[in-house]
Amino acid sequence: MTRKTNGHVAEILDKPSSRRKFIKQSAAVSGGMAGILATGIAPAIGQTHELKMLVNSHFVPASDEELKRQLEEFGKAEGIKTRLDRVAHIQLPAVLAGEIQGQKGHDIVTVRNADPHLYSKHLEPLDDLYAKVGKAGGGWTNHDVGKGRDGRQAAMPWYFISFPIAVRTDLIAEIGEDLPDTWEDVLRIGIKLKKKGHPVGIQLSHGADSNWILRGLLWSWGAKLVESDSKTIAVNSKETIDAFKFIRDLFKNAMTEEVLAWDDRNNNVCLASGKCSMILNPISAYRSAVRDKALIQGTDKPVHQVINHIMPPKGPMGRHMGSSHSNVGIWKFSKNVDVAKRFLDFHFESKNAEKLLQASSGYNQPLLTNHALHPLYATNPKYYFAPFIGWYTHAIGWPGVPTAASQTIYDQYLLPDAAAAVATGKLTPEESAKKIEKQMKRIYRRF
Amino acid sequence: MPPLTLRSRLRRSIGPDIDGYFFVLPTVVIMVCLIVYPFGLAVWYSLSNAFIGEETKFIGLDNFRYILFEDDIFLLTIRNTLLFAVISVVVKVVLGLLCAMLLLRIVRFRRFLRGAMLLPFVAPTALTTLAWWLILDPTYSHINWMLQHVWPFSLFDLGPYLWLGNPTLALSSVIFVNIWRGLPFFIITILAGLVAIPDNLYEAAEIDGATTMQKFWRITLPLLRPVLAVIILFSTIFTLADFNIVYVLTRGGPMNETHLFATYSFTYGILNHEIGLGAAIALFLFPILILTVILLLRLVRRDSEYEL
Repeated sequence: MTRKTNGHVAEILDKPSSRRKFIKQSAAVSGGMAGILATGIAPAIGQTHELKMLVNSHFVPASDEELKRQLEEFGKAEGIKTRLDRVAHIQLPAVLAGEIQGQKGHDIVTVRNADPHLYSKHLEPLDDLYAKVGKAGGGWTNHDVGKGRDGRQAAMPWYFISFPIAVRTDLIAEIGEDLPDTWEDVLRIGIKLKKKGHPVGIQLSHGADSNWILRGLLWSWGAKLVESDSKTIAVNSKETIDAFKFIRDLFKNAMTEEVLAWDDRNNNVCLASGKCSMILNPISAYRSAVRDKALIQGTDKPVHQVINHIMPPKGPMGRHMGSSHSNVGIWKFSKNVDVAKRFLDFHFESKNAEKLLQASSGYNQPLLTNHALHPLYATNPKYYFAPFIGWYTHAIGWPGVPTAASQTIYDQYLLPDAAAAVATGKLTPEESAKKIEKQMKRIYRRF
Repeated sequence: MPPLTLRSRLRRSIGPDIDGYFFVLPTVVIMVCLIVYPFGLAVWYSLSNAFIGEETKFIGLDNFRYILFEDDIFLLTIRNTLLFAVISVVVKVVLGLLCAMLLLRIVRFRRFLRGAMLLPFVAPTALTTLAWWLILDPTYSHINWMLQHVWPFSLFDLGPYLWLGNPTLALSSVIFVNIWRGLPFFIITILAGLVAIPDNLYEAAEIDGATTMQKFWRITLPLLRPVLAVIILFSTIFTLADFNIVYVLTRGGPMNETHLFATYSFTYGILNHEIGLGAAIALFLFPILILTVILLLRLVRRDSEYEL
């Protein structure tokens, strides 16, 4: 405090204050406080930037902790506050919808699958950052994700969750077979192992996994829901009918009826309990078996030791699989767009992106070539599939981009229901293909 | 004649109890803010093409036309919802009446039993439904295990049943869980109604030589009718709008055979961002509810004129 200020303070303290002056000053202070409380905005002099990020809670909590650490490190360097909010993945759509309606909320948000397309009007285009990060990372493995309606990059592709085959190697060895490489192998081996009480487990139900796996299966037969223009419906084809016939055979001969009621947890349980011989699932099934120290029924042998992951099966028209893609975007209504962009730049720097990959134990599969080939995946033979699967994995809407209509098809489980109707004999493959075409037409007409 | 004051003019036009209007004003304001406004907004959404983050335009009854004439899943949803609500409410009334009359007769452990009876109702729905989710699990259902391993069930070679995967069983399962959850409300309310019936009516009937069934049909049921009407009304409203049970157990599957208005409305309104369609599906209930309310209130009014 300077001498002048000191003197002024002393003068105020010494001077006897009148009641009127006291009331006036108190009123001014109260009014000011009321204003701050009512608006929730601090006076300019007291304001500090706060960068707020929203993510869905991660299956591997260490991933969120690393992200929080990076936010704090960035905030420290920039002299700003940072905050990471997590919500259950099932709540994310409602929170995003609320923020858009209110044009208020977080600065950086997780936007999955078709969200960048749906919300492109409200997301800051990130073409420059996308190009810069892509160049530094050796190129993107998938160019369809994170796209807005105008074809611009509405969000940065972050990671995808892969769907390899998680297979019981001991059971396959017992029947003298090699690991399956094609869908026909899955059927042949599945028939043999079902007879021994170890069916194949692929959901034909209202679950996310069912949506992804069945898309992959159809694509492997050369079938597709829409053309590459993302508009023309192409589901009612000979390829789809052939794929449906295969699903029917697989269901009748290599699976059990319970897959009609499965959610995304059941196939993990089926594999970890020693019942299922193979499932298509992210590595979470294996990791849960490790964590829970699950034993093969009737033995003291840990089941995770005999589980391995291999590439998703190949069909007549190649190897394809569907997957959930997470992107990260910046709301246009954010007051911190520039800071948010700088954070994403910082976050996608190779060293930080790799730290996040490591923290997630490889669960966050990267869409950048250099990170896809990360040495982490060479440390465990169970992850040998991981560096290559990105090139065979597509988002919903493939061969087009994920759109609002494709998201509706996904959320209404039209494909799992069509497959289940064929599998249970409720509809013929031809009738089911026709029905899903009709359902898709009514939905696509709305967009 | 001196000019009338504002107070006098108001008194002349709306009656002598002006103060009464001021007393009910806070309630009216709260109702307008919390009920009338959201309801009006929902009606507006159902008549618009509201889509999250997009401009909203009035489209008349187009959403209703779409769900009724184009959306085959919605037609299935109507069937499911009606079956779900009618079966649930009827079973709850019958079982509720039966259990309440039994509870009335029980002397020992009366307090404990009455308290324990309420457990399914007071426990959070999401939590209890999760327990049912494990009990009905497709791979390791507790019921299937019991049918196969516990005597005497094991003698009959029953199951395993696909409680959540077979369309008929899945709908039956969600109805069963709804009944399990809602039954205590019926039992306790009917029990309160039974306790309120004066004993001298039964004594008089006994002197006149009435049988047990005659006492039930001529005394118990007529005097319980107002109570029954109110709980049926409440239960119908809550059952028609049920969401948690189906969302946790089946997510509308298998093949949409358990979708209810609430779950299908959630799919459109929140997951697919089509608030207009979501609101139209949710409001589809409204005429059915209005009809139910009118019928039941008429019943209550008729009974209030009942003379002993």
